[in-house]
Amino acid sequence: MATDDSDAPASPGVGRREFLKLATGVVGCGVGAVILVPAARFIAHPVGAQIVTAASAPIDAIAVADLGAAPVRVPLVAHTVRDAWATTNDVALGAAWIRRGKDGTIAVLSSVCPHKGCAIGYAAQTGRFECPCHGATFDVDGQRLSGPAERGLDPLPFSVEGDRVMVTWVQYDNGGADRKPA
Amino acid sequence: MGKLLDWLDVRVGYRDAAASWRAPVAGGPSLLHTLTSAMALLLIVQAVTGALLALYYSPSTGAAWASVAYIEDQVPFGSLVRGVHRWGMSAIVVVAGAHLVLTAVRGGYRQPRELTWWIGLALLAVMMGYSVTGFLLRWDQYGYWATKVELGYATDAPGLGRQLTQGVQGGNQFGNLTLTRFYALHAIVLPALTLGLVAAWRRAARAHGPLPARGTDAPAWPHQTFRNVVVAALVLAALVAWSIHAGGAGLDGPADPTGLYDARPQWYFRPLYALVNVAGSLRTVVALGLPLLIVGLLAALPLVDRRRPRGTVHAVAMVGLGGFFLALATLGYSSARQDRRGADAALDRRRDAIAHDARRARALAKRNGVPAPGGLAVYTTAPFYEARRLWTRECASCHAGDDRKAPVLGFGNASRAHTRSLLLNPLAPEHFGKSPKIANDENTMPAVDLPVDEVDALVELLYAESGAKDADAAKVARGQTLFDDGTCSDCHERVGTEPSTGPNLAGYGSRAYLEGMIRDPGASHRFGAMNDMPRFADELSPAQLTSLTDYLMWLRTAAPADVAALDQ
Repeated sequence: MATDDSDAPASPGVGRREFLKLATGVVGCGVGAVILVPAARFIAHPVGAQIVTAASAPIDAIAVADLGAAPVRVPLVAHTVRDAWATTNDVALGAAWIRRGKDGTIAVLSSVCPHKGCAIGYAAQTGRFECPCHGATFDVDGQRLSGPAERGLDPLPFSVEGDRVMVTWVQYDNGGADRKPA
Repeated sequence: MGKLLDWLDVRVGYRDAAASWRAPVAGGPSLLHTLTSAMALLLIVQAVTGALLALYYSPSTGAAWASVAYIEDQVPFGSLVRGVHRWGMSAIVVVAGAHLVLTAVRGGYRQPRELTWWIGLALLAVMMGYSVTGFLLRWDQYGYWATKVELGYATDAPGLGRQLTQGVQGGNQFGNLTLTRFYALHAIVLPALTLGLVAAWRRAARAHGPLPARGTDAPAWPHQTFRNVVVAALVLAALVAWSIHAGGAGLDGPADPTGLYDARPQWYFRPLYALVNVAGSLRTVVALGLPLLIVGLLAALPLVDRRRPRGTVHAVAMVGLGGFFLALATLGYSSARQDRRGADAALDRRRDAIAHDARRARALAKRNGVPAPGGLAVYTTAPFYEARRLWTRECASCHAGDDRKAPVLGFGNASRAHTRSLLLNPLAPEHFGKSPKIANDENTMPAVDLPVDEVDALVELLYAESGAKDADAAKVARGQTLFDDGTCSDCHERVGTEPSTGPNLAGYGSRAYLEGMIRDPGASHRFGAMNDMPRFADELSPAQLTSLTDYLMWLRTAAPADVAALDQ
């Protein structure tokens, strides 16, 4: 076995040595690829996939009669949510601020701050929405007043069925002046 | 680049470390040395696949099975990753066994290599630990019951057996703590032990070479390295090929503590299982003692056989150990033969049932997800699960079977053919013949004795009551006349909720009619005084009533194959 290990140039052993080095590299890379390619696909499974899925039906949020000029914070509870392997009932997806103006028009705003996604609070004294994280403020209609947010609060689609306000939850991308579903 | 590497070398001294990998191989390159690198590759494969699985696995009774089923059936290459991880363990046993045999035959345990030998044995014990802790994590029938048995024997160990087992198990029965503890052992504690032992083994083995040298020392690179890489590639190819051939790691249905399961060990524990089963009252002694005996015998080798290689003691030890392991292998093989398919029909049937549950549970989990209570709840997501449970509990005793006391409910009910048969012979056994009050009441309905076309018209009238869109209007009109002018209307109303002797037939065959019949069959516009059936309006919740009615409505137009498909 050791006979071909001569370092003398142009001896037949050098060709074998070089071949072994190359072959070692090639086979080694093959072994690596066999492991890495499936591993990459395996790891990347959730990227760009809908892993958490709520039933798309609108959520019964609140009775119209319970709404006033001041917005109320209403948790939006989905009947069924599929989260990877699990199916769970009655899962809170997020919250909405809902109010009914003097003219009877109803407004439904997502409580997610369009800046970095903190939950927006409502200050009754000032009549403004305020974000506790970075200080963005919005008027009662959700229009941007001050702070780092680049757009106003995101309205959520809703309908009124009988005396109930039915809201569809949408998670929007944080940041940016345009509203894009996440 | 060179400067950067110099900078790095001054700080961490990587060149010396790298040089140690190039140290000459004692005795020159050989295929035997490749076993070590094959083992290294297998350990790396286990670490990589283990880390991949940890990206998805969730160790709790509610999520363990569900998350494993998710990996198996929904994550790309999930089945391959699980398969390689599971069979990688078997490959480790094979390679470690080969290494151990070669080392022993070559006297590689003798002075000054005793420590290398003992560290190797400790590593082997740690590998067994991976196997025991790993299978439980699946929380399927196999993992649950196999581990139950293993821990059962551990509990019987004298002294602190019970306390230690409960410590590992996290209490006196299987639960969330069992999973978190087994997971921590499997994925943190044992890997840490492995790393330490591998480092110690490598240091000890490097000092003298793993085996007594036969040739002259020679550099590892590239001759030994090439052999290592080729063998590693072959081992990996064999592992992947086998795990695909074996259908991956396999996954039974979720662990069912109430179920019947024929727990059998992994192949490397088969001999132990076989011996335990013939050991009678000594089963605990054998189960706990045999592994200790094996490790003890192997560990004692360097102490007993310490003279020259190829001496008498060595030969006796090798033949003795060889015979011992051959006997164990034979026992294991014959035990596995007894369980092979076709050897025991009852066992095959139980296994088929387990395999059926596995297919069904996994298909449901993929389609519907697993409800929060955990794996077993997946069965409740099957179509009409609740309704069929209610049917069995509340309805079947009277409406199905030979001992029934009411009409047969099910396929074809309220169809034209069914209604015709009912009109022509209301007291047939499949209709009201077995209903005590109706069958024996003097006011009970006589068979309709009319020409065929008139029966047709009445059938069509009742068929139209169900709301069917395809009723023949002319026949219905004729049926109405016959109904109102003939004897039907003596006992039956056909509008609203007017009380009558027989049931008011408004909406006969419709969903509302059926649900009303379930809610309150004894109402004055239904069977009234002739009613035999309990009232369910207060027994069942509105949701239960709805689902039961849905099921019965579905059943009418279903075929037996559709019902069988619900269980697939």
